[in-house]
Amino acid sequence: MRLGKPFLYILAFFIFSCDPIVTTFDDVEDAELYKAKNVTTSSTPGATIKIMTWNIRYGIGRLPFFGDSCGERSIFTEREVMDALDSLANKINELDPDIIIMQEVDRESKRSAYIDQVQWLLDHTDLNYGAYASMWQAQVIPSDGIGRIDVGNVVLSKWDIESAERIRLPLRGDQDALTLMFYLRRNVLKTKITIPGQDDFYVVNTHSTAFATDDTKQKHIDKFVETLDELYEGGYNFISGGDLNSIPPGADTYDYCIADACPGEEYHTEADDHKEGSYFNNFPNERTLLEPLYNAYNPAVPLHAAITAEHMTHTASDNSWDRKLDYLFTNLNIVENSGQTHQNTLMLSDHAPITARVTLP
Amino acid sequence: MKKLIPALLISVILGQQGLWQPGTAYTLPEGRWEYGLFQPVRWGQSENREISFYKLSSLLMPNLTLKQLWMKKGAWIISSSHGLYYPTPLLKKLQSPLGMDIGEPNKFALISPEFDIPQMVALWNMVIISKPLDNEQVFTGKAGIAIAMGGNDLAEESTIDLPLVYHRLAVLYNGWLLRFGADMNGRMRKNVTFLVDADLFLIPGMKGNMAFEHKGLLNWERSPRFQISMGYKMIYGVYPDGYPNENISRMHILPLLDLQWARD
Repeated sequence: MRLGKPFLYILAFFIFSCDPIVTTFDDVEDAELYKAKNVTTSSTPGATIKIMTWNIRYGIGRLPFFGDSCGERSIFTEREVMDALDSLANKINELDPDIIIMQEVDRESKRSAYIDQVQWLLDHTDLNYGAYASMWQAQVIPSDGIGRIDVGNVVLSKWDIESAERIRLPLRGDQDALTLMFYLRRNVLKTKITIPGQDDFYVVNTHSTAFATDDTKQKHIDKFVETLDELYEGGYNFISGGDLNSIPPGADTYDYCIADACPGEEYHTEADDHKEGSYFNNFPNERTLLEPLYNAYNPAVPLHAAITAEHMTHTASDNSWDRKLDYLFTNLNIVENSGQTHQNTLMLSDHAPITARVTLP
Repeated sequence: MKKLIPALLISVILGQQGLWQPGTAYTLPEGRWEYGLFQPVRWGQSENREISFYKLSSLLMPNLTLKQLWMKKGAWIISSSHGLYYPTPLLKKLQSPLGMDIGEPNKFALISPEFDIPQMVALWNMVIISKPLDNEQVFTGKAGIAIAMGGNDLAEESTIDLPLVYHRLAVLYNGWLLRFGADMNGRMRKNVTFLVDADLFLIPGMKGNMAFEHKGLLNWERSPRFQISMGYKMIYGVYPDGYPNENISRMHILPLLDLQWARD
């Protein structure tokens, strides 16, 4: 029983392993809490705090990942990931937010050299506490050599995170059972932050589906809004946001199939109508999906500005930002004109960070 | 002398003929074939030499193992085994098991297609010592070293981090590894035997540098030519990790089932 059996063992592992190959989640469960190696003294906030949202693309910068950029790579070296994380940390330290809402943060994933990026970012920024809710956790993803994976949503804060909940979002409804088994399990991450002088302050983060072609995205946004509404009706203050994978109501462009097409791909044909993740009109209300958020809460970037080029937050290529998918909302007041989209981050991720100042009550 | 006679008798019954005992120092009697669904095909080439190979794996990973019985000193049996493996085609196949044109590209790929798989061979060498004990039991101890050639250009990011697999393929990445093991074979009833074993893999200098494996098997010998084996395999393994840790440990338990046949 030496080298000859790996082939059979791989088979046996998939068929018989007593440990679950893919982690599944309850409707609501505790998220995982983190603490920086060296906690810096967190002062009592002034009248405002600075908040940020950023999808950091697994800490690989603009490297050519096969899944989202016409790339041909699945696995990145430790040096490549460390360099990208350094750049992210430098930008975070420059902008100096008090609380960050992050998406696509890897930990112990083969593709990003197994680095726990939550812990790494805490240890290399002025943020002290973190909460993590996985959206894709498996001992092995048997596709494209992805292997071990754990990626999710994160809240980082200068102040202690008292509690954190992972709220399950529905799975995609347009996939076969095998693909679905190994596919992403998205969530809403709801955290309660202990800000000195503030009672019951919540931070809510989500990353809704990017590639579903049915109404799964509607369900994700509905659940996100429901979570915020419950907090609002309970009399709690919150900041919220994330990568909603939705364009703002009123955006002119909703079809990026041609812009995002990889070499050799053709869309708007009989064989292949739209590219998954690049078309934002899959179901009747998709283009106005975010209206309930804009109607009920205060956006970091007002709607009239959100559809302008200077607030675009995403691009599939590394040329220029061409659509807005990332948002911050709160039931507190946003300091006027404080909402900024930091578009000088084109090589750090495929999403630009947004910051805003929120007035504390 | 009183102890030696039963020991010799047992070795005749169990060991000397080495039936259904691939992990011991005994070799198969000359001319006997044993093969199972998952066990390797074994052939008693001579009274002291056995040749075996993994049949399914051989399609993509040609392999051949020779076990030579060197010495019978008192009740002690001393053998060595030497297995040669050519894993390159298998690893390449695992980069795109369905081929690029069937279904999704690289579906079921366990190694990213971005990596070049060089031409490699691995040689597993083991010294095996068995000693019959009272009550129709045989104890076996093993120690060995595996070496690989051609893996210098194999990207360390191309590992398959699965139990049983990672630590066996580790020799290709590290160039060498050590393996130690112990088996206890015994007879519980006339046609029921057992096997309890433990194996330790040490891969100095590599992330995920250790695995401990333990197996328990019950075998029902329906006849000298057919047996059914059932049991379990427990694996405690250390696997590669990143900041803030170098390694991560995992434990897995797998059920085992095999049907084996023989002909003389």
